[in-house]
Amino acid sequence: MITSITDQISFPPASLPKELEPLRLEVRTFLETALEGMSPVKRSHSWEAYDPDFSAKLGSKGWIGMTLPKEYGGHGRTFFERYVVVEECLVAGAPTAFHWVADRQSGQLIIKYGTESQKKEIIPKITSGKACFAIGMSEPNSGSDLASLRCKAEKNSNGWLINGTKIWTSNAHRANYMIALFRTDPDPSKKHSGLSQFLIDLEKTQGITARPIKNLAGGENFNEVSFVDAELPFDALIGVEGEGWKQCTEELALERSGPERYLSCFYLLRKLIANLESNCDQSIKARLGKQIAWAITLRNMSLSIAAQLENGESPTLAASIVKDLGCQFEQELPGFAQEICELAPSLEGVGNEYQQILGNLIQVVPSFSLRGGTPEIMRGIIAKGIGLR
Amino acid sequence: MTELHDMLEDSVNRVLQAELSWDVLRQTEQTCWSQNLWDELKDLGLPYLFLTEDNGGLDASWRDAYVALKACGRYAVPIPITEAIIANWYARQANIVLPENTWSIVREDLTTNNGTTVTFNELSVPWGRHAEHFLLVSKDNLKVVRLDSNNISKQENIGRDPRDLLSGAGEIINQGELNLTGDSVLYVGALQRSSQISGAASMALDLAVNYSADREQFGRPLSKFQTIQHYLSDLTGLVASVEAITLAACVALDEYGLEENSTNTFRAIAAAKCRASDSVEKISRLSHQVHGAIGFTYEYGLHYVTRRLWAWRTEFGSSNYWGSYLGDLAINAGDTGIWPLVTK
Repeated sequence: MITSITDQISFPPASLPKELEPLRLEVRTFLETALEGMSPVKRSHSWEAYDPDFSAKLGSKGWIGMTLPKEYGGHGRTFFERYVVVEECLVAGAPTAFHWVADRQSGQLIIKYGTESQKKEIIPKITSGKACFAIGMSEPNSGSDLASLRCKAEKNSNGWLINGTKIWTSNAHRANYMIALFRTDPDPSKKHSGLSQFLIDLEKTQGITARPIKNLAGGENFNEVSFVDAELPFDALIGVEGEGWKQCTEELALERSGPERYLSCFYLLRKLIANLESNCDQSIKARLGKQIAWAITLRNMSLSIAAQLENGESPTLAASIVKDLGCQFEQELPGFAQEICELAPSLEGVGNEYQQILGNLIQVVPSFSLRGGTPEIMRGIIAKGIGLR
Repeated sequence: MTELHDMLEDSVNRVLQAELSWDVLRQTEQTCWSQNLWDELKDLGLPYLFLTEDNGGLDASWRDAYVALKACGRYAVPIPITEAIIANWYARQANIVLPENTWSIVREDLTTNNGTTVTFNELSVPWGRHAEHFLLVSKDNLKVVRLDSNNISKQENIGRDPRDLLSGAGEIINQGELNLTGDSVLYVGALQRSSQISGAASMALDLAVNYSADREQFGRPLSKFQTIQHYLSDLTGLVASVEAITLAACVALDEYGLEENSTNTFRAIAAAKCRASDSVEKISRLSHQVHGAIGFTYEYGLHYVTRRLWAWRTEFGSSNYWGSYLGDLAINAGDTGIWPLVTK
């Protein structure tokens, strides 16, 4: 066997250009000041912590929508520059949820498929950190089998009429916009090709109700969103009618390959290390070191994907592998921390900083392998990629 | 990627695939040597990759050499080719030329008598029963020792590769200066084994995937069962991750060298061997599980790679050893230093 399965999956070693080091240090210094006094629990929520003020500050530094074109208010910077900013925010436990989706994918989608007036109106709001986006995908009866969704958009003389229900939609109760996938063709033979993407202005549209669903930790982040005869203008359809599935898949590639897929618990790892004695047991050091080896490995893999994307390649299979491995890593960290350090997890305001962070993350990690495609879906993609399906 | 890299990858894999059938591996396990194979791989120039072109080499970087080291792991090469590749890397560092057929590298400080001979007791020498020389490495000096009369205690590791113990004396026939970290033998060996593990793991994966496509149960190929697909996806990710970090360590060694203060290299090699060794458990378990009982037979050749995986897992540091190393670095780096440590 000269050709090997792994020949099709490559992670060429990549490094960030040295000239980005000043940017990294600038972001780090900015974050030290901007996050001073913020509660440990909020910081541990990282890219799921919603803070419009913080996002506005980051936007004023020019660090949101960095890769979007200048003519629409973007900054025309490289994906590597964005990568550095995102890494530093994650590692510092910065509350980036308000602008996260807009920065990662919605801005790019609008640049690619939006109308001129949508670009002119919305992109400057994104880059200044003043636009929060929600993504309407899952429905009560369509989870991993997303293409079975039924929420429908019907064309009439005024535009589009939307009816149905979305669920698990993060931030829908407080977002400015939603990008949602609706069925535009009810023909059962068009399971995938009957879907289209829509850009919805949540402030201007009537007939949409978002009801927050309390999660097991008591937080209210995701929602059930009902659409009852919600009317959208014609140009709310974004991209091509019937190509919503394809467009969503492109977006998912951006969703699945970023450093947030292994760094969600890095803030905890930092505080765990701060709470370990330098003379701690050798076996504890060994177990900690194995996690560090994983972190170094995942950093290399993630950066390699970023470099491949920067080169215009689309490493779908490799990105699925990073998400799958990264998710295992970050999901195991809180349990690992709990085992090697005697300090018990605690509720907000009780115990030290580390204990509160652990107390939060140990409760929320089950969601890590649900968001952005489950491991079951990722492994299906990998199985397909290596020719088993 | 360089032309040399692609050329090496193609030619080495082609030759090894043609030469190392399971039959050949079975026969070689009886004799612990194959002169034919040794001569053939020497003719191909494999041991001399790192030498300059003037000295008959290919002037390879570690990133280039990785493909050869990996291929040797992949095809379970049962003779000390990877050792010879590394012996010649040392020769290049010390700017000396080695005698033919030299592969053994020893890090211990042995007693030298008047600077002309060395004596040793139970010195671990891979394929020592066939060795004519060994290299004695310190941080600033490389000695070539000719093995004279000595006692050989023949031993093999569980991969059936000879790990003999030699006692006796040898004459120093050449030496040169080095400028390396005192632990260079450990680091280079760890990178060598990580590369071989990466290769052996890729073979275990390929055998498992192919077997699952061929073998039918309940009226369909094993590869169509979701459980098997998940095993194989899991395996694929793990194998790819071992390659990714090992390649990164090779690139680090090319860029930062292996001197006293090459901390970026040390860190990368530590992560590579830690991950490579740690992944052996799951890689061998899943590849065997997919094969069922046939993979547990001597006749079917999965074991040529899995037994070596188990042997290489501890050689030049286990995952615990390198984990402790990284754990120490992490604790010393502390809250604000851990991220720079990961991204260096």
